[in-house]
Amino acid sequence: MGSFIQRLPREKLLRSDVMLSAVIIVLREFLEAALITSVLLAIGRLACFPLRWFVQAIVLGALGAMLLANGFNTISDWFEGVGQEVVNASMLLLAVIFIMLFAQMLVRYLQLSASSAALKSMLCVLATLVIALCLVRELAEIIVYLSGFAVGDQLQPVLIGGALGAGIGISAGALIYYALVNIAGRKRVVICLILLSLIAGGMSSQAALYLIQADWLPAQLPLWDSSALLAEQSIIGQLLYALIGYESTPTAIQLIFYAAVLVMVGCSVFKSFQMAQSQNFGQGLHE
Amino acid sequence: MLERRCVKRPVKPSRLERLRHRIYGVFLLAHLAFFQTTLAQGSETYTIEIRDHLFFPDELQVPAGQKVKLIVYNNDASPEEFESFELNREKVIGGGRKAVIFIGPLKPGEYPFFGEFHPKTAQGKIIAK
Repeated sequence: MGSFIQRLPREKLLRSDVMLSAVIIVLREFLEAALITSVLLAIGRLACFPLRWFVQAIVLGALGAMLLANGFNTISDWFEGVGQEVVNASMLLLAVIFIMLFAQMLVRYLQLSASSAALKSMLCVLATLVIALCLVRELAEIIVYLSGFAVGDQLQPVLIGGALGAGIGISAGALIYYALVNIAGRKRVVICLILLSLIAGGMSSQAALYLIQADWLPAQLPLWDSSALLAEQSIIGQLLYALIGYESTPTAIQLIFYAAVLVMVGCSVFKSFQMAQSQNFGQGLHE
Repeated sequence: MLERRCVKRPVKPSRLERLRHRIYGVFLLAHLAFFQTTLAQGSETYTIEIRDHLFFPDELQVPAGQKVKLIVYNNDASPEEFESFELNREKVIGGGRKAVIFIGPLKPGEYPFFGEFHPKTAQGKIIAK
């Protein structure tokens, strides 16, 4: 291999490496937000949420991320050095609770014979909060990462790489959105709710992992190791981790968190499936 | 559509039965939750240092089968993220700060970790024995 690679000057080699790492780091963060954003946007289009909700979510997320990145060092020292884990886990669990409420309210909203403005605005608020919470976590890490390169000659490749990674992440989200939007109204709700339950499950198991890392939840040996089937480091593994929280070595507590949330949001899936068969469905739909 | 209306509803379990089922469920969950949990009286502490985007030591030996407390000192001016897929841990450490990370219990073996912000240089592994 070595003879095929022309020896690049030291500066060039480092710049492309740095750019590639920046692409991967920013892409991973954006992918985590991509699926939940696309699913909520697809539902929002179906139930005619005013687009303003999404803009507000982005602004809120960006502001929150700047706050979090600013107070990063202070927060890390909270709770005897595990403040970062506690804050991240809290944001994840809060998002999970909001997703559960969203799923329940969506099913109720679609059952109504006349569209309820109060319920719709509540759904918009929940969607805004969920996206904002995801963005705060992800953008804060990106801001902290970028701040490390503020001084020096590596800022440019990092910014370019970051922009590339963000572009790829957003494109992936757009792809998912258009795939969802092309599904007919009734099936779309069911599929979106299934995706929401997987996303929420992944978030709750990630929260459990943070708490285990902080020693707030007991440490355990993992129940299995599926890296032979699908390594977490592989591209598909990383994709599945970002989208639905795939872990190759999960512990029992993580699985319990995942399963519990899956069941709770899954109840809404069943209700929506039943409804999709009935005549009443579609009062809240506009497509 | 007609068949659905003719299906008999199952008899609802009594309140006492439901309570019993719930208690069984909670016990099962608690048993699963603490499956293979290590109740360490106090976990051993190990330190790793980050300097010039490198880990010192880059190979750390820890006892297998017990929870281990890792303190990572970041002596660089810029933040670094301690990450490991095998250990399932990731934490951002600010410049000039220290971070507390709990790992384990680990089966005997090698567990590589890396600095996500500078992955080409910051690499190391934990050896559980």
